[in-house]
Amino acid sequence: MEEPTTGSQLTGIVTLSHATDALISSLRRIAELMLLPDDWDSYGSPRIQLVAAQRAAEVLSAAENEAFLTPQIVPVSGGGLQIEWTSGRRELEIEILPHGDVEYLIAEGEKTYEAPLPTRDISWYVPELVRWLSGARAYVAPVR
Amino acid sequence: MSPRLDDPVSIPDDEDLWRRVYPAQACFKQLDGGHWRPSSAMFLDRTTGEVSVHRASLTTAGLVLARYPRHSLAAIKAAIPRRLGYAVCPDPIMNDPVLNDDPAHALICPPGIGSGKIKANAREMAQAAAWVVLRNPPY
Repeated sequence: MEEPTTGSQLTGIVTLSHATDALISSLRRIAELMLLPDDWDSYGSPRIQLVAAQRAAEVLSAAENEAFLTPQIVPVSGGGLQIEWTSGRRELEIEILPHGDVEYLIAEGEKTYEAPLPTRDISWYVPELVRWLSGARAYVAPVR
Repeated sequence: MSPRLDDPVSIPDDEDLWRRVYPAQACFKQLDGGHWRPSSAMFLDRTTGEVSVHRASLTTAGLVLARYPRHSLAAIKAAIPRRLGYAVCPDPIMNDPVLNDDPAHALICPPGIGSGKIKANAREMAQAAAWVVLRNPPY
């Protein structure tokens, strides 16, 4: 089991010199969730895994390049994290699995679409998803 | 592990299934004037894929939350996961070396690898959930 991480282990992944308050707040939230102990969910989940927290920081950093809305960040049983944004009828969930893989779901009303997000595509595809969320895109291009 | 079988005889469709919700999994929804809702993460478990719940007909909210003063409690009808293709089956815990006895324990089990809509299904279950007890959301 990995040791709990700290904020400094996350801020090493993103450049904070021009970070928005929303990004800094989100990174603080991840650091707080990293302090959860094993069995935080009362159903035997391991603590949040360091690789998941680091990947989540990458996702947030990529999202910041667009008009960054403050997301809600929640722990997922198994040791991962989920980042959730809502804008009007549109919702975006980006889940970081315990071993660092990424999956996302977009929803507009009752219509949903979900898919894996290859980690090599985070830097260009997360901004696409955020642009869709904000209404600047009518649809989301498929992952390359 | 072989897939678990749905058991609609032991757990009928109208049975309430309760799930404890850690405070950080209660999200504030700003639509409709704002209210608290459980995150879809509440119905995801990336360890086994199976989601533990408690059968309301066999326990009480007080018992389920007795050792968890910060957790909330949410309910969905057994029919909801079944409609999504999940199995709902009893899984009583008795004489386990680690876990406390819980005759009301049950599992919501996904249709299998490759079903492809795990996140959408979790979101739908969360949207159908109602609070039984809502305590101290974090935001």
